[in-house]
Amino acid sequence: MPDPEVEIDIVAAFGGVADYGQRFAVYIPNKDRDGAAVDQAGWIDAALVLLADIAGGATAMPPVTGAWRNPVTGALIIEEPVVVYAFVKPATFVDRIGELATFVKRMGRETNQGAIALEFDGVFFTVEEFGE
Amino acid sequence: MDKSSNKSRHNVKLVGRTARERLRDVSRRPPAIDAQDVVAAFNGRPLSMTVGSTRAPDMLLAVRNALMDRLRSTGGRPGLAGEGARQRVQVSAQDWQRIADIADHVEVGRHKPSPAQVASVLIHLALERIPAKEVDRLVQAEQQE
Repeated sequence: MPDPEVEIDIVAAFGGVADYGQRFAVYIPNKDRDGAAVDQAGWIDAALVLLADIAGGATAMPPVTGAWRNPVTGALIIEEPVVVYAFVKPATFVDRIGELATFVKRMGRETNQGAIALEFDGVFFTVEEFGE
Repeated sequence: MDKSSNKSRHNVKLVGRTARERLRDVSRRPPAIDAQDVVAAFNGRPLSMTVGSTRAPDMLLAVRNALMDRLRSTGGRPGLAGEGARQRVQVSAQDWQRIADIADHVEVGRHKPSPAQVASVLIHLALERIPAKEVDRLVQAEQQE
């Protein structure tokens, strides 16, 4: 028999406001597609500024260890990306999603990436075409 | 301070009980955006993977990295570095099969680790997740009894 459920309005219980919905995160790389170092700190700052402007605030996590296999050379790149994330307000996020996409593509292009990793609401995806 | 109360304060035991009631959050939330619409806006490629999924290869990568750190070759099949003695540990057939499956999916250079080597690394990684302070506190409490 399933356990009984007790309903609770967590936000109201803390006197909070539930304006913020889903989580958007971008992985800021510290290496390029060939394993050479990139200016990670500058891109972290830029991502924080942009996400804070769009969402009202943003957080950068400590570096995590990740791996990416270059599909062209076959080389495995072990890197330490920094995850910058924000909980977004739906209307503002939709209005400014184009700016975010432009930022991600510029970062991918200027740091010579094979892919930029992103998350939205728990869904993990990559951007691999950065345009000119 | 009363010695007996001091003793009982340190006599910490971990007891698991079945939850009888669950909380369900009914807070009002802003309308959700479909994640697939966001992926499309970025012209992104979904990886059929959700954050925190046990199917994600993070754990396999952690196992492989730990094996890379610890496997040492002296000419024959690489062995685990360190002075640890071999221990006899009972493992269920189901768990051993999962360990063997992990060993099949991890390569370190040209070497495929044995299930026993993977089991050693998995125990180490699991222990790293238990804060050392908690274990020390339990040991001290036992010694004071």
